[in-house]
Amino acid sequence: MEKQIKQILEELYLVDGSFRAHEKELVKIIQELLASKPDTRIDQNFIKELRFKIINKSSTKENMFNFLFNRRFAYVSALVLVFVLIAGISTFLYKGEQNGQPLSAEEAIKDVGENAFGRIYLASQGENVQNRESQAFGMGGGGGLVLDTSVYPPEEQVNYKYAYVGEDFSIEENQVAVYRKAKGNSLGNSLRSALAGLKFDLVDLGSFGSKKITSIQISEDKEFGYSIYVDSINDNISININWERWPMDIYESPVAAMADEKAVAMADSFISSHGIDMSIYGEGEVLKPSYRGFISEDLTVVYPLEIEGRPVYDEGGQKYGIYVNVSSRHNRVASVSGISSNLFESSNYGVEIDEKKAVEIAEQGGMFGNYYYSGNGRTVSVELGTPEIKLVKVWAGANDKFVSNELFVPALVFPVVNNPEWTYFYRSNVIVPLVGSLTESNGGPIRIMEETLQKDLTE
Amino acid sequence: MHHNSRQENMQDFIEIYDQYAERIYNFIYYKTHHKETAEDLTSETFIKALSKFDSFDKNKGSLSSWIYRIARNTVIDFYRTKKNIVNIDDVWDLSEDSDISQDFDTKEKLKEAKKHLKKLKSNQREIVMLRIWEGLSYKEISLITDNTEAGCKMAFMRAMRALRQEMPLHVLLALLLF
Repeated sequence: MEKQIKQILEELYLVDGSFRAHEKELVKIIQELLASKPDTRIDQNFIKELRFKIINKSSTKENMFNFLFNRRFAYVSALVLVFVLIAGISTFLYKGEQNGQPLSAEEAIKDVGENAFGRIYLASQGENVQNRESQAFGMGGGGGLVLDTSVYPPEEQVNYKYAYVGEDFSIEENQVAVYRKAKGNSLGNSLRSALAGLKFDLVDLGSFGSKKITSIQISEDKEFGYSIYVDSINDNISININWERWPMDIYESPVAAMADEKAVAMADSFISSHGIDMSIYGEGEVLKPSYRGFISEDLTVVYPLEIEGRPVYDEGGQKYGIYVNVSSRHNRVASVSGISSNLFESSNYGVEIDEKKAVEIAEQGGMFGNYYYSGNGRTVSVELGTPEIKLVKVWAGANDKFVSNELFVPALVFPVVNNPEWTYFYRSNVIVPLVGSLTESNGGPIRIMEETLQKDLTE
Repeated sequence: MHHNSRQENMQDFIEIYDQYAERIYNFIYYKTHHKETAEDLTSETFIKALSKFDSFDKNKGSLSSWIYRIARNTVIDFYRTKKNIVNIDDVWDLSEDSDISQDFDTKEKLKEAKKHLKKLKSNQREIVMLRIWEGLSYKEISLITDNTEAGCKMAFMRAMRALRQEMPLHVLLALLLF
């Protein structure tokens, strides 16, 4: 200590010699300071653990995908990755990747000539009615959160008879543009370069050729965390609850659904905070459940897709786009689905139906079809008003092969105008596409016992 | 910093860690007086340093000043976030009745000295701590504080002058009697 104090003083005198006259005071001050030096109590185990952590961190940095298999850092790193992916989707467009166009946040429509998608066979959604008990409701992916607490009304056998009551109308168009989502495989291509650095100890990945990442699932490891599924084949992303980190108790009774305005505000906030691009989507609105009387804690907010400024509907006549499920019980967003590429191909098709045929199809339930219960079922009349031409999302096959293709076709949208007494199945519109074939052999509307229904109504 | 490979980069960083881990912990402890907080902030400092290591340019400053600057800023961020005010740099700026955790024995040990040290300017106090508590040379201190060696000596001299003037007469008399 003496040596250290002496050296400090000597250096001090070199700066200001007048200090020499106060040496005794200075020695006491320095002694006092040395005596008051805190015991830093460093823990050598802490130093070792931090060293280990840094080595692991560095390994993660060296190989960005090794983290997926390192449980210790998987979730933190994965969370960073998914936000990069979601935010980065918009920047992938037109980066010149081979074998596909990058996923885009900006709408881009490429004209691919007439009838470019082949002969279109439209699939009906009618089967969904029969299989409804096995489905998750809410339109959004992973919307099964509320199933345990939702209340279904008892199924009543009701037959619906659709009748056109609107004004005369005419279909002016001879040709209409049909749109298809362009499968750019952009996420797969964009991630391909990252694959080069992917290493496993157990398998030599380098021995496999032409590799691509087709999907990844990433989870937030925190209370009320989310699980993000990136589908690089179809270029879409969905966000769902991380089941492991959300309370999964079976609740005895449902809670009241929150107000629509609150659900929309909550969905807006989630979308904003996670940088989800909404440049070709309209304002959010709460979707009416397809099954009237269905009591749900969840509300689905839909942000309608707008292609060239035209809102898109689904086969059931509801607005189609990005769906955000909001949980009233947990007061937070539970899922988001429909985040997808904004790249479209456009092809002109000849209009295949006239006004008379359109009304005929509409009165059979349109694209969604109709059902008839034999026996003592009640019959409810559904009145359809004057249609408007809008874009409708359909699943369609091209030519004679039923390969799923998401198409957006112009369709006559007949509004339900008489506020009928629905039982469990609710419709606000009936859809009749202007192009494509609706045939039973290709999954078209099922018109079960239509003749019997007609007979019942006339009796 | 230019490295031939990430592996070499990593080896370099681990060497730096081995060299500076305890020093940085002590530096942070002197500014927090709390073991757990010092550990957390030390971890944070090195994780930040690792993430920025690739972009470190030795032509723009020494490695030690770079890593101490990260530690200093980490401490400042900690207190400013914690207190939600902007004029706190470290534990020395806290009031005596602050509810922020401090180790009891350190608080007791520093009771007298703190009254005087806390009246120094932040940079003077840092140099006093590094020179007297850590026993670092002015050259080393200059590298840590991004200052010149002469500037560090001047700052230390001013700190000692202030402490002399700060010490109450009865304390000085008591000191001088021993």
